[in-house]
Amino acid sequence: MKKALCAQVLCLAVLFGCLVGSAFAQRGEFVPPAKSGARKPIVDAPFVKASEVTDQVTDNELVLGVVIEGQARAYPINMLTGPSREIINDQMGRTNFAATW
Amino acid sequence: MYGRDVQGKTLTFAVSGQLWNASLVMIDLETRSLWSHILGECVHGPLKGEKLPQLIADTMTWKAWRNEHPDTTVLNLSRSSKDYGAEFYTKPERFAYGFVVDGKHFHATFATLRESPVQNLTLNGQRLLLTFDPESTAARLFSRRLDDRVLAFVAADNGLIRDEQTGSMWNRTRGIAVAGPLKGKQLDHEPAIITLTRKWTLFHEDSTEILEKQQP
Repeated sequence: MKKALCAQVLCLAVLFGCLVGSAFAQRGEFVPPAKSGARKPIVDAPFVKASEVTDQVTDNELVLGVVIEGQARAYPINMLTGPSREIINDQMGRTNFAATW
Repeated sequence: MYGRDVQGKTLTFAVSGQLWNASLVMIDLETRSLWSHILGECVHGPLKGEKLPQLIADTMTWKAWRNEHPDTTVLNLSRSSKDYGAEFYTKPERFAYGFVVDGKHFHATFATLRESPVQNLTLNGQRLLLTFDPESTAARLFSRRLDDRVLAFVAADNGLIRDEQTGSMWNRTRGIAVAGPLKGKQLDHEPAIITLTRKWTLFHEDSTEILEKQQP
């Protein structure tokens, strides 16, 4: 009974140590984990003209907007959230850029 | 919003599946280097230490963006969230407008921007103008130096701002003088990012929060 309790306390202590340790590890240098869970990149995403937008985007929702080489482009935040999105690899004119959220 | 040409290579970024300081870590497929989204900097791998050029981007309502840029194109993917924007309106203190002046970090929450929508700032000797337009929810950072003078601004009617030196009227989101002696002149935009306040302060513990109206 006592042994089991000791083991539990030790487990908790180790767990706590790991949590604290990882929190500190995050402060300084970035240390990547061994396994990579990278998602597929988004390239060649579809775009439409403002005049073609019907119900995809509502007036009061937020967009991320950029003007590059005189061309304007908007990315509705509601299309950028979640781990399968977050980065759109894009280009306009001769500028290669990434819209990120 | 970042440029993605580094050392003559165009990089393709993907979500790495990792987080650092509760924030997105990106991976480039060309070198498998890992990049911090908030810092715009490579934190691991062959390109470690490289920085991505930051592009000037804005966050505002679709209606305001479309009015400002009638010829805009717009991303056309399915929705990944239903109404992310709602929190931006109901909990503006959770969102921050962050920027760097001579290596020092500054931020203002959108709650402060709503309270003080026209701020003349002097930060590290740089004369800056921070504006917020409640109609479009756009925040902007400009230089107050124009040619040989330094301007100071006050809020005026119809959402415009007026400079105290010449009395010209300016559009506060575009930084363009629309009436008066300086009509047609444009202030220089300064880059800034919109992010969650807790993420900004986690990355930049020393960031100075801009709280209220300061004297120019």
